[in-house]
Formats: sequence, C-alpha cells, structure tokens
Amino acid sequence: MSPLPLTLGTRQHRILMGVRCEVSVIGGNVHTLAEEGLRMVADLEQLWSRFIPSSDICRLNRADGEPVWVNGRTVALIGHMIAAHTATQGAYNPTLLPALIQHGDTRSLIDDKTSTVPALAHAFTDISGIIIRADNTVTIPAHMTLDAGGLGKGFAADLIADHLISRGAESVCVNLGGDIRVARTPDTTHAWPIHIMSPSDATQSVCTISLAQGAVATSHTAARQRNGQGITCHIASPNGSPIPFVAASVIASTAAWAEAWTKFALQSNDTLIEKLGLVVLRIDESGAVTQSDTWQEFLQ
Amino acid sequence: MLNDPLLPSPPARSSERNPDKAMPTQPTPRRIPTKKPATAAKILVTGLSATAVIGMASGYTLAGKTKAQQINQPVMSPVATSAMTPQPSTQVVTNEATPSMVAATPAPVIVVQVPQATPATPGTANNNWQQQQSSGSR
Repeated sequence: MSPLPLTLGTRQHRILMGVRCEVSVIGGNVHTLAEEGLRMVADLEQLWSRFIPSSDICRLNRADGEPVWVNGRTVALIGHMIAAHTATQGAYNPTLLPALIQHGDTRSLIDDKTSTVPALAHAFTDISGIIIRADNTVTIPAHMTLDAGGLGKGFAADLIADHLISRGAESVCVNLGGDIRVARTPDTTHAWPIHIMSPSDATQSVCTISLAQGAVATSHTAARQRNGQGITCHIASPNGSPIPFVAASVIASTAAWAEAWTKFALQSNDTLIEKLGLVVLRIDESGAVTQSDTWQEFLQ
Repeated sequence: MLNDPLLPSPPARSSERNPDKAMPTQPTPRRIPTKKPATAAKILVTGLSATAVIGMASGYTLAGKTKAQQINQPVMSPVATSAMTPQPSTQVVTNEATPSMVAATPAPVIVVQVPQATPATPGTANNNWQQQQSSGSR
C-alpha cells in the first residue's frame, strides 16, 4: 500500500489549559489521532492546572511539606522543572506562583476559576529541597508552591507529539498556546511553517520559520494579560532587575526546553543559549529584533 | 408460605421417625397454626426495614469517607493512563498508593533523568493550511 499524500491531514483545536490548543496530523487515522491528542491535553490539564483543586500541582501546593503521590507524568514534569531551573541558572523558576497571585493573577483568563496558595507560600531561589521517590511520591518544602505554566504546556506538547507518531501519524504539529512541537517519522521530509507573532500586535508576524523536527516556544512579558484581564508582566528576574526584552522565541529539540530557555532569553542577552546550539530571537520594548546567527537557517 | 392455611397439610412426620408404628386409621386433627400470616409478614417487613436502614447508614458513612479521601487522590482518565508514553521509564505508575499509605520505610529518592536540549531540524514548508502561530500563551 502506497503511503498517503502528505496533503491529507487534519487540524483540530479546542480551548484548554487557558489557551487555544491545536493538533495537526498528517498520515494515519488523522481525525482519530487529532482528537486523541486533544483529549491528552485535557487529561494533562487535570493533572497540572493550578485552577483545579484536585490536580497534582494543587495537591502538592497545599501539602505543607508532606509527601504526595502524583501521576508518573507529573513526576516527569517536576523532573523537567528541576533540570530547567538548573540549566537556565534560575531564570526559569517554577516557584513564582505566590508572587503572581500577589500581583493579582488569581483568575483563569478563560473562565471564573480562581487560584490560591497557602498564606505563607513564597518564591524559592533554591529548589533542591524537592524530593522525588521511586514510588511516585513527591515532597516539596513547606511554603513552596509549583506552577506548571508554560513549561507544562511545552512538556504536554512533547508528550502528545511523540505519542501521535507512535500511533501511526507521519507528521504532527502540536501547538498549545504558541508552544509548538513538531515531529515526523524518519521516512518523511515534511516541515511545518510557523509564524513568530509580534508581542505588540497579535495579528502581525515578525517572521516565518520552517521546522521539520523539534520545537519553538515564545514567551512575552504580557502573556498573562488578555482583554484587559490578568497582569501586565508575569516574568520576574531572580535578582529583581528589570526585564530587558518583551518577547523571546527559542527553537530547540523539545517544547519543554524551548519554553524554559525563553525565560532565560527574556532576562539576558547572554550567549549561553547559542553555545548550546539553540536558536533564539528577542524583541525589546522599542520593537527592535535581535536573533542568533543560526536563526537564518530556519527562516522560510 | 409454610403456614398458609390454604395449602394441604404436610404428611405426618411422626410416621417417618417411627416407620414401625402403624399409620393412624383416622385423619389427624388439623394443627392450629401458632402464627398468623399477617404476623409473619409484619416480622418480615420489620426485618427488611431494619436491614435497609443499616445498609443506608453504612453507605452514607463510606461515601463520606471516600469523598474526604478524594482530595488526595490523583485524577486521571483512562485515556491518559493508557494512551501516553510513560515518562520516565524508572517510574512505576500505580493507582494504589495514596499519601496515607506512604510506607514506614520510604522508597528511595530518585533523580529524574531529563535529556538535555539539542538543536532542532529546519525544513522546507510550503503548505498554507499547515501554518502555525507561535506567540506567548494565546
């Protein structure tokens, strides 16, 4: 049986995790796989949302230093949080939720769900106190809280893309609110065109890249503000210094890593990202765009 | 109903126990039932009612306990547990362990292995319907 033409595909979308989630599938049983991908987003939201009291993240946040059994995917997510915090030298910090809530980021941007943290909760600069055991119990220090945030969306996109390829898709693109992971089988050459959107005008594209394998994530400082709701800036630097950029996009092997490195890119123009072989584009408040040399390789 | 007066009388049991004894030549006088059907029905209804009350009370108690435990129980749909690739492989996913069941001897501490970020692969895209938008959480 000859393979299906790559133009035979589908895209399905739904509002989940507080953002527009799109799953595009080429090859295989496209409609079933796309729906399966969206169901996985919904399931992971139940595990990681800070607005759902029964989620693993909420149960950890109110455990007050006691061990909590969590799902295996949550264990993997927390592992990514720790690795990202270490690699980005603290620029990515999963414990900033109390500061966000203190600034008024208490309400979901798509419904009336609210998020709270214990009264004594505060941000941590050292997250080495998180203990993960082999039986999937996790202990976070008293007064620490975790927020899956963008890294959760990126990691979800990674899990879903890998799963859909394993289920017979030839090429997939999972876009969770702008954190995008694409994957394909080794015998295809398909690539996805991706617009990097302007932080000041969501209808304008800064540039368009073409991605065959890997991920791109974009963070901008006003991402937690929509239609007059939310807060003006949800990014905090470890030392409290001003954030020099308003938006950053990073291209990497996985969406979780791309998302984590955007936090570093927003806060510093250090070349650490480029030294890792990753690709970065930054936009400052005046609208000036700077990009790494390797960004050109991805331009369409 | 064993005591139903409309049913024929059971055979005399005394003849079974004493097979050598001669059968009476005349019918045995009919035994007067000691309980009336209405009384038996009342006893039965009373018993059933008491059982139902006890059962409902137990059910409510168990339901209350279950609800109280749900706040610490993980939520996972069948799709999520069956459809996803386990990450990482060292983890054992079980729905049997709960915080209240953490063993006296805790399981060993693990470090979740996370592959480092590596470069992505560019390509050549030319299909309009496949266009995506990367923006900060939209």
